[in-house]
Amino acid sequence: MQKPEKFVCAGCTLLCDDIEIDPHAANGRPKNTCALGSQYFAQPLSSTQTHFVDGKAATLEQAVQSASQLLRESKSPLICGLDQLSTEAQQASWKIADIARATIDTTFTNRGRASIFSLQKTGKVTATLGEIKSRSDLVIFWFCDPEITHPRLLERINPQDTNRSQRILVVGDQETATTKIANRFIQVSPENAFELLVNVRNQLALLSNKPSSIPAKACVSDIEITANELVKELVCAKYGSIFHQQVTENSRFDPTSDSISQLIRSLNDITRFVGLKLRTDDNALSAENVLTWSSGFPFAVNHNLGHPRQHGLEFSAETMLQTQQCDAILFTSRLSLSELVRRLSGAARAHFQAIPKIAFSTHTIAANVQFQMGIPGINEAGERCRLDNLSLPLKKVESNDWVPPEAILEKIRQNLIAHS
Amino acid sequence: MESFLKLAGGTVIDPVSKMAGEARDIWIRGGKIVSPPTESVAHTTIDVSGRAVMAGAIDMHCHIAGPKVNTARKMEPEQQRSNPQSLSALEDGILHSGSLGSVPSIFTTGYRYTGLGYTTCFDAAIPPLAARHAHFEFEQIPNVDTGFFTMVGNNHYLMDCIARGDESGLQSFLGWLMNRVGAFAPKIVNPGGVELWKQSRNGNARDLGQKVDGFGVTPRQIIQSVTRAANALDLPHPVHIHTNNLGIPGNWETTLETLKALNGMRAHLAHIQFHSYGGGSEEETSLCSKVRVLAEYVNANPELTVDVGQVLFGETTSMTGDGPLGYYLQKVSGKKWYSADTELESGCGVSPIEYKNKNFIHALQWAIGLEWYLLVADPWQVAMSTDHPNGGSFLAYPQIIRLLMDREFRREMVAQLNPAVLKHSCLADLDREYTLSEIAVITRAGPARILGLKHKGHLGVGADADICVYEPNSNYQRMFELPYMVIKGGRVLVEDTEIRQTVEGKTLMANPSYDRHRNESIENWFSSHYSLQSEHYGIRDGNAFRRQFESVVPTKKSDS
Ligand code: SF4
Ligand SMILES: [Zn+2]
Repeated sequence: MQKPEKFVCAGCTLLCDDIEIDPHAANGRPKNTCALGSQYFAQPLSSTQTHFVDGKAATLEQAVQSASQLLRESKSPLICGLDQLSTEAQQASWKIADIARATIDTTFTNRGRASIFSLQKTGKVTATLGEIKSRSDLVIFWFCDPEITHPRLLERINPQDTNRSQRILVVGDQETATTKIANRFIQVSPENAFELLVNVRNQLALLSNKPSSIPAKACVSDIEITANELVKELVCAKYGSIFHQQVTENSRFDPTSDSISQLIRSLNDITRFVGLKLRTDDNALSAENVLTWSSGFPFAVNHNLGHPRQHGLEFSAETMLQTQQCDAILFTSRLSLSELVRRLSGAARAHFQAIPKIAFSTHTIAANVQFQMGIPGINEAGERCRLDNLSLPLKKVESNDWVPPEAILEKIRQNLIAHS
Repeated sequence: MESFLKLAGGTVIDPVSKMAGEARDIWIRGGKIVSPPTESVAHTTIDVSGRAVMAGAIDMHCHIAGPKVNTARKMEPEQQRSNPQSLSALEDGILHSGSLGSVPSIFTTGYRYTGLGYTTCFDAAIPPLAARHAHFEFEQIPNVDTGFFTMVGNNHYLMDCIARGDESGLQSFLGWLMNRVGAFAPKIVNPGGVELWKQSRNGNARDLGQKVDGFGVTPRQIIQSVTRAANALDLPHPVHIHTNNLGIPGNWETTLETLKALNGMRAHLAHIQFHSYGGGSEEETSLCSKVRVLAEYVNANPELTVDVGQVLFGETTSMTGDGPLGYYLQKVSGKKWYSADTELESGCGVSPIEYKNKNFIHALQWAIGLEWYLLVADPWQVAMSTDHPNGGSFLAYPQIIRLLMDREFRREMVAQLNPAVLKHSCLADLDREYTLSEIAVITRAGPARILGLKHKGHLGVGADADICVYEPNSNYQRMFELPYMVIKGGRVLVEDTEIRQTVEGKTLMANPSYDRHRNESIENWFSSHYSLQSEHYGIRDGNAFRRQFESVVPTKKSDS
């Protein structure tokens, strides 16, 4: 019997790839998706691909011509929103950035990027989802709520082998959908999270290589007591895993990010431990990969001088817009323009509105040039990166003869080279 | 029809056709080397008289793509910043910008290999699950043909087959896997040891007879079974082995045991330098070279080959599929550390490292590498490698060539070492100097033969027109650092030491035929064990890849 074809859901960074679509059901209703995934697949689709130049429908060639012209006229273009593109289109974007001496970035915001800086400082100890499923006897959710953001995560890491138990622990500031199903919830305020980690790491350091002896020293403060509770859990694990997000994912800096990486690393002197960032930034991980193998740097890369430069967030999309250092923008977004603008910080917002815009978008958006793209995994194919850095091919559920972003970007690249 | 190109009057050094400096014309058409036309034909002539002509060089063991290589780049921005590479315009096209840390960005990797006369290279450690990522990176490497070895030494399916004594199952699985992920050869990394480290923090396989918990097989069985199956599948490069105990004092015994376990089968041991240490007590000065005894064994067994994994002094990055080794190295250095466990397959470790010539251990590692080149009698059994970037960058190859060809230079370098080294290494007693022909063997003809690439590594009729032309220079490092001309697939990429154009490379894969009856049960096993669907694994979805795949014909079949 022929097995039904499986599709990949891009509803969150788990990229569940066991989705079946019954072509006979009304609306092609997907099987195996969670509510979030069903919502994803239920997005309305445009029937035709239309590109626009200055608000008027244009042929692809005209739009490519105009976009290339804008890039040529720009002294400092910004390319961003790579998190919305496939690996292939991200690669094509970088090639344009290099030729056009542009600045290129993964997302529009400076927020939520602490984990890369931690990687650059401390490193990272991690594993694929299947490894966690088959080995992890203790799973900790650190300031995250996968039941809402990655609804099938627990199902996908829960061991099927009934002889094995997996303890679920949540550390966070409030009860959530995930705390309801956890074995234990350790409550700590975001303000105290860093101190908790310091305490945990200190207590672990005292243990050195003798995990059997929990420190006898009396714990005085509440935080010390909480830390001690956590330490007892940690050292009992054979293969622990920590899924984490920034304590405040919305902030620019997060002192706990380094601490979490250091904690996971040092736990490997006592037992085995791995960590995974529970990413919510679509295909940004793939964008970081592409930018890294192309330029050497994962994000916020500037090519103004003819070679790649990256210094923290000096050349991030948000900084470039805020400081008005770019004079044109090529971006990808699946948001409406008003929503996109709303999410930008004040100074960035004004500059974004003032400069020429080339947009790749799923729906009509006011820009000097707009290319219409499909919805990834529904009517647009392309590679994506799962949150554990596994590369997966998204397929089309609805066939169409649309020209995908990578092919359009390649046309722009060729146009730039031909006229340089 | 494509016209002829005549490379006229060069001093040809081609060990395969036994030419060691005869002046000879080489004719090229359609990307291949062809016989001189019997009648006069339209052609372009390039005069290379007075210059040395060799086949394009082949790096048979380096780390240039895939998640662990890319994470190394990602975690070391300070290295990328130190040596930025600029975008530059060619007559027809461009050279992309990039960065040249110990792990260069992908375009830079291609350009730099080209600049050294390398036209083919193999990434030595890609987990099957990372194959798609590796292929995406390969697509971007200009100018060089690439391939990868895929890690199988801790694979659960495979260990299960071995435990049941199911040799044909193992063979089918290897065949299925090579095809599915587009690999060139199976790679064994610390057999059993990576799995044991995933099981517990002190876990590792410390000798070949140790049982792997949960599977009941030993590293020796893994090595023997995989090598047997791979030879039976008639893979062009049957198996690439990084054996147990890398870097550990006293590990030479494990290495010798590994060589013996191979028992007449064709196999290759990787970065053998890191596996040739005597000593054993905790005292670090107990470390000493055991190359003589190991090289003697290799000399007596022509089916065995090694690459060296030469250490060079300076900053670099260690990266390995050997998870417990990665853990050990970062404990020693205290530097940042990346580790990733890959379900059912493998692990990995990445950490920055610096080799210093005054450091006893580092200096001894340097000497041990050179001993290997000088003590393996037949250069066809030893290939040049730095295990890039582990021992040092591939950019150091010209320096190694000088060290091998020029014993005075070697002595000068030895004089700068930590002097204790010479008590533990016989390097100072070795007077051997490599000839140009022998260099051609260890950098192209030998790797091609070891890899089963009949169409590469030589200048005979039918070979790929991958050619390198050097300006003779008594300083061999200079000579090999800046080839006068590099030709890839018949197209001149480097002329007068500068890159003039770029071409797309191909991806070389093994694609063996195997018994497909087991496919369904393999797929079923896959579905119940992996965190993804088998249809999304490897390159079954081949459409995603633009680059041309070339299946290399098995060795026996091409003989007949
Ligand atoms: S968990 Fe995420 S990827 Fe999986 S079905 Fe739900 S939305 Fe889709
Ligand atoms: Zn290696």
